[in-house]
Amino acid sequence: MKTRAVVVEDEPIARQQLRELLLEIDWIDCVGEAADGRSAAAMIDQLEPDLVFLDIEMPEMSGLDVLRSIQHEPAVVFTTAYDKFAVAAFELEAIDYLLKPFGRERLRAALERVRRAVHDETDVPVAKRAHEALDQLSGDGTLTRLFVRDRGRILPVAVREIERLEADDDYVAVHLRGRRFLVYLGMSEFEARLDPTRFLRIHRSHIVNLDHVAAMVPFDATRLQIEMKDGTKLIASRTRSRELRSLAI
Amino acid sequence: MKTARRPIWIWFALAWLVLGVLYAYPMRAAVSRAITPWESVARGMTHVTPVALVAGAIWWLTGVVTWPPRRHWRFFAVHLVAAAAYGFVWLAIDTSIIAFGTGYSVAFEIVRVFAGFQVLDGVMIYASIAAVSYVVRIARQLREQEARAARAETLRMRAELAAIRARLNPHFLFNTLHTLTALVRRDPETAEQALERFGDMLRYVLDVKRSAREDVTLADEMQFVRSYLSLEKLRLGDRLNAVEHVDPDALDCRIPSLTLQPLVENAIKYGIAPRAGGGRLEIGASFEDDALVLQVRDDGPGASSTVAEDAGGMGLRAVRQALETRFAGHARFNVVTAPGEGFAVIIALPVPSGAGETAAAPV
Repeated sequence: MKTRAVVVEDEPIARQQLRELLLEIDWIDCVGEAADGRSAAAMIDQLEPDLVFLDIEMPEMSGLDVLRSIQHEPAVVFTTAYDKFAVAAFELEAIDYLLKPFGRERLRAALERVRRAVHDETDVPVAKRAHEALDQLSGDGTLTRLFVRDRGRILPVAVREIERLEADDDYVAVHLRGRRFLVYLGMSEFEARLDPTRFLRIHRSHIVNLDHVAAMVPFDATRLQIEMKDGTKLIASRTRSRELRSLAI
Repeated sequence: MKTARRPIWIWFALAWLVLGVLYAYPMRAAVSRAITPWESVARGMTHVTPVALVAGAIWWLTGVVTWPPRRHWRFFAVHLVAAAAYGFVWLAIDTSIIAFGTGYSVAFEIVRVFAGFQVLDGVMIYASIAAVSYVVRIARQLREQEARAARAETLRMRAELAAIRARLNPHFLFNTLHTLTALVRRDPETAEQALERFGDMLRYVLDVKRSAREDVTLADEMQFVRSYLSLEKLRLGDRLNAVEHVDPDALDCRIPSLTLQPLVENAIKYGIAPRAGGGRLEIGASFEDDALVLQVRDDGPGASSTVAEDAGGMGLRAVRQALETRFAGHARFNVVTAPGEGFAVIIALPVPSGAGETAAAPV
């Protein structure tokens, strides 16, 4: 059975492009399109599609508002030109999104992920994650849970179980129980959402969970070495070492 | 660039130490009986230490009477008096110490023989310390000036970057790029045209920034606005309906660059794009009395007059500020709006008599 999709996009050229690109995908059947938030919400509840492409910036009602107002729970791929906050929230909830400009290649990559998610019933439903993402956007409290991708599957991760975070180019690698998951988010953006009493930035590219630190020992005259319970050894930067020492007293 | 520097008092103390040791020889000669080298050094140090402590006052004075001198006679008079005072203070302290240690008669004898030398000595030392103090102070000033200049340069560059970034609204930029991506296969001709316009726009924005505050003709600004509108029309389709009422004579008037476009952008962002049905945008330019009147009007949701005061985004405020600094009260900037009544910005710029040639004369 084909996946039934609805395209929600206010700009006519962009809407037509997305519909045409979807025509080339054999497992997708585009059953409807909407040009503004209000009619989109009505259409989604009426047609009950499996998948919705949802533009964030739209007249009358934003894509986020649409998601808030619908009863039906489809898989969602957000499309956006420029919205740093929304993108950060989507990353933390492992919600699919497409950054404009996008063409075939990016669309296909996103659809590959969606395809696995749509057919995998064990996942936390997208709608639930999407609602969490919306809450994330409004609140700036500390993060207690996030979602990571693991070979096409979405796994929930309790933040306090994260052992350490490591910068990896534009990504942050989340380490826990000997595994490593990538989240496409900046280190500082991540740090801002973590509980500062538990997570400590020890270096430009390292954040550690104090619960998983075994020891801190001097490395040289100015720097400290952090030994994790799993045996990993990290070296704190000079500035951070100084702060850590003052913490220890 | 910062290098770790030893505090100045270390050099100061070191200099006095050397001087104290040098004084060991004359100290030895001055005393009739034979004394050990160590004792003569000790006497040398006793001789210079009190006056070294007073020397801080010279440093302080060079801060009060600054170099370069504003009135030369005053500068030299102050230092002459201070130098003499310094010499006498030294003599007085030294004599007191000797009087306390070996008795008044010895002290009196020493004063009688050495007073002139010692005061002269004091003046020389004073001059050396004052000179070094001025050199150190001037060097510091230069370093601070350099640091200030570097800071100012950094700030200037940051401001320039922020200005360019503000002009290139990222929403507009990425949405337009997306439209162009979508057009490439389906309508290559339109895509080509749109890319040309996009290039023109970028050139205008970046050029204008490079020579900030430069005036352009209304024709140039309108050209830019039309490029912008054509790209927005691609995105918004029929929802954007734009009309121009521009007096042809007005096209030669010179106006500050980026006066009209932010108003148009603002009208689209708040008056047209948020409505599913779109709206109408009017751009007008005409002469009224001695003024060039520019209008940008939309039929969108409008705002209450209290909101209108600080209405619009950064764009409007920036235009208003630019006009204020540029024309110092000779330009008018009015917002006409009410809820449900649309939003209009009306700008009146002074035109010198013989309108139509070079309006908006520079201040």
